[in-house]
Amino acid sequence: MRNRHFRFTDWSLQFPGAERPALDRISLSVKRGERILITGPSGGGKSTLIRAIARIHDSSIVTTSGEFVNNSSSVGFVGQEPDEQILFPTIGEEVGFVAETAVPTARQVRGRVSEALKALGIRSKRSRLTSRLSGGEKQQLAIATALAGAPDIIVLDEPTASLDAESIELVHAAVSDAVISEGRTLVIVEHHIDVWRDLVDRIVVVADGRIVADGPIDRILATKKTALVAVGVWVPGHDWTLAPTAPRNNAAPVLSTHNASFRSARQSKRISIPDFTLHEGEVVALVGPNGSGKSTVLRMLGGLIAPSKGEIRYVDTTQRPHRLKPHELVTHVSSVLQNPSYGFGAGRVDDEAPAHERAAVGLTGFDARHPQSLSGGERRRLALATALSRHPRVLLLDEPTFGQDAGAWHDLVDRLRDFVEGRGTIVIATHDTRLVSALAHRVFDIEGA
Amino acid sequence: MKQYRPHALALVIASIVPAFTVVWTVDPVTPLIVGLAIVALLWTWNSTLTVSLRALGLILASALFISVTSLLYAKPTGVVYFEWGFAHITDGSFGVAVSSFLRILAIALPTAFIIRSILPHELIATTAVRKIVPGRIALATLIALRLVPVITADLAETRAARRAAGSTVSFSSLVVTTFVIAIRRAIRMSEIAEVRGFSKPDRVWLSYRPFSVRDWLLVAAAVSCGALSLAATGALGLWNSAI
Repeated sequence: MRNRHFRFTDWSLQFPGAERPALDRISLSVKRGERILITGPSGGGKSTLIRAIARIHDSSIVTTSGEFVNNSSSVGFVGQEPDEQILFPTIGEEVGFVAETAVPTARQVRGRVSEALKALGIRSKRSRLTSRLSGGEKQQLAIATALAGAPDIIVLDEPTASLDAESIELVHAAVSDAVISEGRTLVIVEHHIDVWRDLVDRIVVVADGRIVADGPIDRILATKKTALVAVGVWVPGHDWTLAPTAPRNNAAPVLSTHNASFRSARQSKRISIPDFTLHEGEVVALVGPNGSGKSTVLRMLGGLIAPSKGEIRYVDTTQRPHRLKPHELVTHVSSVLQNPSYGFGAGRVDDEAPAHERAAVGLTGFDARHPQSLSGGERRRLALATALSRHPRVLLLDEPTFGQDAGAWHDLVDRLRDFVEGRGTIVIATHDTRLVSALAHRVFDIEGA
Repeated sequence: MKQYRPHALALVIASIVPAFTVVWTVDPVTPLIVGLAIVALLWTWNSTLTVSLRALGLILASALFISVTSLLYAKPTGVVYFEWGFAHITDGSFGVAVSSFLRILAIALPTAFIIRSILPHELIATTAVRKIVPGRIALATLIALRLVPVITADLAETRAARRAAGSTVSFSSLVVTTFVIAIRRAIRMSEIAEVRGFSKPDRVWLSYRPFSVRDWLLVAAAVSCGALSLAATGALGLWNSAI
């Protein structure tokens, strides 16, 4: 038994007020040193399972049944939301917090902090404020913090969802090093199997609260490919490409920019928008590394912040977008921010967006749920449905495909294509190259100067 | 040679000496002596201590406001110079106004002087190691410090999201939404803190620094300043007991 890290036997977990269990009679046994990837559709129970493994659920709130034996002495956990991972004002305190209980002297704590920061390529001063880090940098720091405790099991919940390609490589290398060199157990939730395929040796597929496949990754991917694709798993090697959409000819202009830029005091840099004119039925993608300013460009276009100089104009108004009153602004443009939680005003999902818009993005059966109780991917789709229900001429989307399984991703892309067919214009800030290929007519690389 | 930096707790103790001193007597001389002495002492101990003009302006404005209020509305005694409704300017109210002005400066100026030099983590770690507060409270305080910029960002994000949705945001709606988000975030962060060893005993506090001899001397000098200023007031016959 001691060589087993943890074991679930017919184990169920139900949240208060839920009609059915989030995890339903699952059985899963993991040996020390195993490297497991948990995948499956959005809202299927992956995050609930991984949080149970990390012993995060408050046992006084949730109801559980069955047996769960956990022999882990220390867990290194990293969740999805960068801002919820960072606990302390400075980088040194953040990483030190875990190391302070792992080793007995201040000298050793300092050593642990240095090693963990070095492993993730974080070269900032320890006194640097964590509030000044970009989302990707925060996630790198969270992984460094997890490693500083020298845990015997590393538990990661979609750690690269918000990262650019370069940061993903860095995180992958650091996790690989920590796992391989020390023979640690790894449990990782991820939609994109190809990112971790070389490191993991076993795959567990969770759908509707149950384990629907479990075994060596190569065998499962070879023998159950069709079934996995059907439940929305991004199976490597499957042809996911969608035919690109053709731009509309002789379309009317809707938005133009001229020499517009924003001076960011927080990041001490200038973020510029390329000069362009957007037309009806056109899709533009903004790409670039974490912290380059893609979100800031979207906010300028969406009238949420004023450009420091230059101008942005919607053709059917003489007012600058940032000067429009909110009810006037939404007749021109609707923005879906990177974290959709801030925009929800209703207490029920069915009060946020009409049923047909929710169904169009694959969001059915959640009518009475609170919007904040949905998974990250579901919240993003609900925010999109809400934005589309306002019938904007221009739609601005900030990383809309974070946390989406393949099925939800296709629903989302289909709905956006319908919007474009109906002469809608879209600007998307994204790291998702599949999304860019499937939708974008033009791509701008944003680099803050 | 590494430059001496006074310990955060020593600075805090030195800066609050005037507040304890002026409790005993309401005369105008004690705050003048102790305030000047403590600021001079702090400056002598570390010449890099600075005070921002904004903080200085705020303190002066607050002191002026309180002293003008005292001038008009303090209990009238002695010669009356001005009278209008409830407002009186008298010999007694002049005294109270001057005294209030000096007491506020004596208490606030030393604090403003040290505030930029205080390292919160060093202060909190010291209070935990010295068992002045329980370790869990100390850690929770540090985490709460991190929440300040996060909640500020939450406010801005909520305002942006509501504008994007076409809604005008009232202050009360903004506060309620941000409060709900902050509670949710605090719960998530407390879960993460627990996983990372929040409750584990035997923590090595990396930010803890023991008092040096110079730190003890600073505290002793500050307490002496307070005691000497009280003695001087008594010797000059200006003692006006507040207790």
